[in-house]
Amino acid sequence: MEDEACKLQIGDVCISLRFKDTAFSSYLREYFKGYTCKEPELIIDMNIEEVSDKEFGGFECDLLSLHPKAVKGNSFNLLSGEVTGTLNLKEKRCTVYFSRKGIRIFKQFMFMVYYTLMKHNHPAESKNSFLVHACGVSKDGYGYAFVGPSESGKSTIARLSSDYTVLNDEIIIIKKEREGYIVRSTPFRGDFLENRNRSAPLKAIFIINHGKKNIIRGISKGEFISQFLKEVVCPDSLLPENRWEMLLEMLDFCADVARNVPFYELRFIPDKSFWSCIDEIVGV
Amino acid sequence: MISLDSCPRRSEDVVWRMIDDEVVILTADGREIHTLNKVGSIIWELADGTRSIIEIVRSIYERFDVDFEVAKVDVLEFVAQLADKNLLHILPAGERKGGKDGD
Repeated sequence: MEDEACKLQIGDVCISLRFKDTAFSSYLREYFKGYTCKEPELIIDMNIEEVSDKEFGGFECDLLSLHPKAVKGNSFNLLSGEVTGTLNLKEKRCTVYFSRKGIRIFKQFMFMVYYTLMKHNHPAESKNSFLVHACGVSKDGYGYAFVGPSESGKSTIARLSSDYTVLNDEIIIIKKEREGYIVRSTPFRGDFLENRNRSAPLKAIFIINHGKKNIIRGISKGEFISQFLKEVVCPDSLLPENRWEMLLEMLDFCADVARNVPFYELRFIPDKSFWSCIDEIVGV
Repeated sequence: MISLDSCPRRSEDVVWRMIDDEVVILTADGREIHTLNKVGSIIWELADGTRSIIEIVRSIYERFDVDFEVAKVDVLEFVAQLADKNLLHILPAGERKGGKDGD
């Protein structure tokens, strides 16, 4: 079973997903190719009610909202029983059961696993590393994050950035390192298929939307944070935790990003010309 | 009913941070984000349940170049808006929290 597991790198953490359905497992290995890792920090036995590949790829993320969660000892219960399981971090084992209804939060469950392992295994970095609903592009060695809700143009930006290295068109990691913030790809992609595990120093963040012409404008920190915060994946985990502290961690992260990374609002038309505007404003 | 003697108090169901001159508020369910401008942020900071609205009006009047009557109307309106959103609770004049040194 271990040979057929899907070993997956998400930022700094490595997990192994094991399924009874080997066909589904090989589907996931293909889906997440480019993110293979060797030494998992957690082995997750996934038990899922019969679900088609189409259903697996089709769910939406409700990023900021917290799902109902109960954690008692090693047991967790999400969505009022739709997702249940046990977690033993000492033994590096997790078992999870998804109902057919619960499978819609498969992606959020993976986000929770990411935050769980960050908090438990990488506590010093966990407050400085968040999943963000954004498109990431690396150009001339620097990373750019294009942040916005569904339909704001993340996949369009990715498509129009084929001259450069697209990191991801759906979920990226923004992380503070000693030298500054970096943007990193994740396995959680949208339409973009050429997805691999890469990162770049973060040069600027753009809050995006479609427009009738290309416009880049400066916005206040408050305006930026209120937009950016909506697209940060809440650091909910499978551990019992203080919700207030969690939300404050998010707020503090957003405030620190605003203090350390240039940010703008970008309205763009669907051609590559928006990159010239970006080059002008970031001084390339 | 909000009066000038009422004491607004920040809801305990939110987290917030002052970032430069602006307050960003996040509701506990993570569903709503509010950003307040400079004046709104000062009112928010003062709304700790120990001060009446008229005391907050005086504070705004002293800090900004604004007509006292205009400040009164603006503060009342702002407090009412935040109370409507359950971000502020309105304590009747007799129920103000003791001391002005914080919560």
